[in-house]
Amino acid sequence: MTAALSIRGVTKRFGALTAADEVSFDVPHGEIWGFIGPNGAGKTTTMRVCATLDVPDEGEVLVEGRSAIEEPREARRRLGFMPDAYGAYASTTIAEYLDFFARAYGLDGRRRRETIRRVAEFTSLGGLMEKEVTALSKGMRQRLCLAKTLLHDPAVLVLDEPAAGLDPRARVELRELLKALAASGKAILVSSHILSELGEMVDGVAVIERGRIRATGSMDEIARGVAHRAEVFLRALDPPEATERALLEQPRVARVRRERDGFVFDFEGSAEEMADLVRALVSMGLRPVAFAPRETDLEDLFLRITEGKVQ
Amino acid sequence: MAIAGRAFGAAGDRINPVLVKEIRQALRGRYFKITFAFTLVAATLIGLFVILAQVAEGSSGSGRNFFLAIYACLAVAVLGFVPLSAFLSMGAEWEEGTYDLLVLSDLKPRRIVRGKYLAAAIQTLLHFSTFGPFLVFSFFLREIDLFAVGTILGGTLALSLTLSLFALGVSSLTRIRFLRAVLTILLAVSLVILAGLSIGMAANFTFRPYTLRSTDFPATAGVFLTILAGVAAFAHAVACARLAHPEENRSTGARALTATAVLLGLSWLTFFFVRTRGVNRLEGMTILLLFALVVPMLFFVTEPDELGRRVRPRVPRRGALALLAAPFLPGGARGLLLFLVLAAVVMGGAEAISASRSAMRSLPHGPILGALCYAFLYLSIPSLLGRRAAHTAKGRTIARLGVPVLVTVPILVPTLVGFFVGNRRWIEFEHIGFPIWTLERLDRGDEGPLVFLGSAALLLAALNLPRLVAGVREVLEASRDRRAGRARTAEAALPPAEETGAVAEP
Repeated sequence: MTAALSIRGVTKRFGALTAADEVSFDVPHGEIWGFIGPNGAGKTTTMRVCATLDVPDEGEVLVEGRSAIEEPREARRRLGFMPDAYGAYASTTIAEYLDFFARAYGLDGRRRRETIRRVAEFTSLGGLMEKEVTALSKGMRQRLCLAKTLLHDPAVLVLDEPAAGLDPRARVELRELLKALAASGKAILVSSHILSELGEMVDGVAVIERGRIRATGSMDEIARGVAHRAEVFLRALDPPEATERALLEQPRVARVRRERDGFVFDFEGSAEEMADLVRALVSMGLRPVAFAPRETDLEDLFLRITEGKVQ
Repeated sequence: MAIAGRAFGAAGDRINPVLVKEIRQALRGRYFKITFAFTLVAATLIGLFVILAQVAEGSSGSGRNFFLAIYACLAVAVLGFVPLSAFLSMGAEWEEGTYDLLVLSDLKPRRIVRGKYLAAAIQTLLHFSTFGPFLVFSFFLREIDLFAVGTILGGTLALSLTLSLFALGVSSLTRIRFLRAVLTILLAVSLVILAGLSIGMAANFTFRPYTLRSTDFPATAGVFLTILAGVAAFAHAVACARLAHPEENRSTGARALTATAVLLGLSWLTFFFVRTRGVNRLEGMTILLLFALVVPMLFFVTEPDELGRRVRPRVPRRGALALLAAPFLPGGARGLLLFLVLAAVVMGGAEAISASRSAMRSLPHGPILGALCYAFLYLSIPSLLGRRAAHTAKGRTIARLGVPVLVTVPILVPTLVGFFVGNRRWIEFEHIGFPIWTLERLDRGDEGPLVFLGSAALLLAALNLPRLVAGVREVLEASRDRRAGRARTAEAALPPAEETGAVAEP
């Protein structure tokens, strides 16, 4: 099946700097994918290539099978891009702003009015239509830009830092909006620095660092890929000193530290090797009552995958 | 009624959305309100002052002074404020960060430019309609020549419309804030000068209306309107090209326009030659046309040599057609090729014009060949030296600055050295880098400089030859690719997306 958004070997150089280096991943219909990486990792460059605003030196981007490089107009009709920084026209109300872009997307007559009403309702802007766009709060402006991005009903949404600068309530509302859009079959690629927010809504992630993709896939798939560096919680009925000593004697255990009524340590190894560790501890006479590899969240994954270097 | 309503709605849907937005913003914005009120109040006060002054002097009620006073206010508004507002409106797209959103919509650059242009045109018409009653009043004050008034107002309207488009073109040239500030100042100064010249011209026509009835006037007006049309067309092409993506074909339209301008220039050449049979004028205008070609060519020859990824799939499939299209496709080397083609057209045209009519003497070839050599040298040196830097905007700017440097430095340096050293011989130093001196010598029959210039041009041509060949070959290859259906279908040509779940080793 053709992916809604397919990024293939995208390389973009700015002089000596390679902002994106053979970036490749797919975003299927009906899924939200997070695009994460440190500042300057190449997220915005890749997203601008997807949005047809930049042309890569090598590689290809397909939006529902249409090339963003060779058929930019066709790709644009299928894709909605929300840039991280965008402006608003002075002396223009929300209704006029949306009307202008609806006209610019070729919507006419009743279809235009109906579309504007629908997106305004969806983004909860319906009651503010006569307000000037320059007077809107950051959250409202994000909603307005999202509404504008939805006007031509694109199958693919590329959103660059849509949650930046939003208060917690606005972030939650944005998350719900994106989930609703994904449920309607749209493919969404969203970049964000707020990984906890992203972790709760994404079906997959692409981690980028210094222009190169470090990991792609669902959270579980990536977690399995980095599982040999799990963080484990252990509680035993034995005295703490004995438990600590027993742990420190194990070859794959590192950074043992006390936490509440037990211990947390780093374990490097496969699932089988983790089972061997439990057996070894029991055979040493330890009486564990809790042994739990910690749930990996997006923040953990991100920190483990990336090296924190910028270019 | 319902049918009329539907028709009105359908017509409203067809209106350029940029025009609707611009008019809405302009009428609500402070700039229009202030400038409109200012010119209106100024016109009323100045008009009253002129009438009172005439009454005080006891002079007969001449409408000419009143007309001129009102016209001055109108000229400031439509030749100054309106074009400046067009300039600011284009710049606002970058300054307010709305450019990306606009480009992502279905609007083509052409539609964006036209929307902004039409908004400026409507503002101009609004000013004209507001000043209308004043102008009618001046007619009732007598001593006004209706033909002169019509000519002045018609010319001003044409000039204002052209200046608005010109301002849009200039505004699209750069997004760098400092350069934009410089351009704003330059444009404002130019507009003030033009408004002043226009008022001076209007005074001349108002007080000496008979000059408009001379036999030369229709031709002069024709040249004036042709120049305005040319400037407007080039400004439109520049603005559209600048709004398009750098990888899009931003060049072919402007190249085709240059070729059209050359043909139009040749038509005027024929017209004047038929009227005057003056070989000198034909020679002078041919030389002027060759030098004028350098201006648009300067932009074409400094483009990156390679065809962009969005241009290659649009090269004509047929080989012969692709070959013919090659000079019109983007690329520095192909720009140089277009210059050679158009220069040949100009020279061939001039020769044909002079041969078709009996002239007092045959067309002198020395100065024309000299001008051709100069134009080629001015273009080919920056094009050759800057071909690697042409991939960046900065590199292209530097390469483009190379032409004015090549023109002015050889003239200015000896003069400045002589001035500071106090040596008159240096100030009056005549040398081959000084085109006017060289062309005068060539006109006098001394062909010595032509040997040097010709040799230099041939050397540059030889150095550029591999680029020219490569430029044509690239077009033919792209055409062959299209014929073979090798227009890259990315699905087949590119590697698949990475396996999901893959984690690269840090």
